[in-house]
Amino acid sequence: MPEDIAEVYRSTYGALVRFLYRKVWDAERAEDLAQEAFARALVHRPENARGWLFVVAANMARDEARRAAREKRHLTLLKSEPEAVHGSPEEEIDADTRLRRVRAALEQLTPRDREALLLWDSGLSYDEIAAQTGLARGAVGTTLARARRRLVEAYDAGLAGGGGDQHVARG
Amino acid sequence: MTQDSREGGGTSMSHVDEGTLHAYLDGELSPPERTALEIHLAQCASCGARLAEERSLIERASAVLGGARPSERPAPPLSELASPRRRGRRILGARLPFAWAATVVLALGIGYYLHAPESRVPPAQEPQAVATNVPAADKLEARDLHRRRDVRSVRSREEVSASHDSVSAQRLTTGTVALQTTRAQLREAAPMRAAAPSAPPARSALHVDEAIAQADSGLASLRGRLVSSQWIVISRGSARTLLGADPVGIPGLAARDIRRSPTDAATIVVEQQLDSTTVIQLFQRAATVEGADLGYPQRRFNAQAEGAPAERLARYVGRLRVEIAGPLTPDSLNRLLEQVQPLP
Repeated sequence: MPEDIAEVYRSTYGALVRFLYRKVWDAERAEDLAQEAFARALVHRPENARGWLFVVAANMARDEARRAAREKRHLTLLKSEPEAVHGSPEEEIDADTRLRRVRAALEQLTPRDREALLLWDSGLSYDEIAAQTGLARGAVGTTLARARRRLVEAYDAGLAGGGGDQHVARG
Repeated sequence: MTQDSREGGGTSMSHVDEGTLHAYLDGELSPPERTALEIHLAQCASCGARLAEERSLIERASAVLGGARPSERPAPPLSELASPRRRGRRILGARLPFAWAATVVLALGIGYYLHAPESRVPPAQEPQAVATNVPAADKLEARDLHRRRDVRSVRSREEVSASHDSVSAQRLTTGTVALQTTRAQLREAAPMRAAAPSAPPARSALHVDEAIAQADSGLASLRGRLVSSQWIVISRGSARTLLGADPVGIPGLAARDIRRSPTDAATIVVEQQLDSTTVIQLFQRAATVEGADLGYPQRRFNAQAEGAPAERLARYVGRLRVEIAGPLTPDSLNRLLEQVQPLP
């Protein structure tokens, strides 16, 4: 197998799983899809393996999302509340609740903002993000700035909403 | 991103937009852009303050995202992803039933071959078709599985079935060996023996034993019938005349030949090659001609009649009743049967 894919595998597998997890919200499924993406990369041997992998992964997650559309409807979006509680330490809430809040916050972003943010968090460069999202290279910074701001705002609004669970736990 | 700084004109830069600040903090500005920005930041307190804000925003956003990460488990070796075994492991939910089905088809195949010779092609071709059962079916199965991606088994199930899989594979191999033994006997027209075949494989599974027993009991009736059961190769034109319609086949596959039944002129078979080693047979006759009317038992027409409902592998195409036979799973055969169309 090509050395470069082995190297990309070492350096990127975890990021790809994380990227997929934030789309399909199922750890095993994310691993499955990530492995599938690498298995395909071994067959296709793309030139820019890393960028290619994230494109393939995004497509797989999109297909997956369609399938999971019904389940998704159960997640009630959190409503933004003006008085955000700043500086609430994330550590104070248990991991489950926190996860649901992050998910709800992410889902308030526009698809493009979310994609850019997740790709950046996965370690892709602005050039790679631009190539994958269709954004102009010069618009990536602005997109990320907006995505970050909205994510934090939505997340804080979720915290301000109170116990948190009642927003997302019921379908 | 940097339009403000570029279009700032005059002697000093105008304030920096947040996109540029994020690009700067992300380390994604080009060296000239970075230098220009740093010069401005050194002179502009408000932009310096905004830079600090954006930095903390980036950190917070990153921390928030960090709240949604899967528990990290080690990546499997890359070589495991490349190996065909992985594919088998991942779709065992579908693969295991297939293994069983293939085994049953093997057993049925023997019974069919020995019990209904009149509806079959000359024996010279038969062993070839049966012998390729395992690889051919595997190939088709692999294609099926692409469509069944959504059929996924949970990990624990995969692990359980992994062991089953190897067992089944063993059975398949054993079954093939048993078949070869049986065929050898047939070719030599050996006299029927009361006992089981001379060298049954040590690990022979129960159902294969049964098939062999069945084969042995069929030998007597088989002898003398082989010659008279030759299906005669006919032309397309003749087939059309016999059927009163164009013979049908699976589009995209070469029609290897068309034969008519030696005992029933209204029935023909189109043989098509699925791949270099797999032959599919499509028995067909005009739908209005009922087997019973001709005094000819339905079960002779249907390949699997001995062990399975006749209607499973038959359908009507236009004016023809078509049945399919071949060394594949019933599932696969059904799928092929659905594609049948008049031959071009």
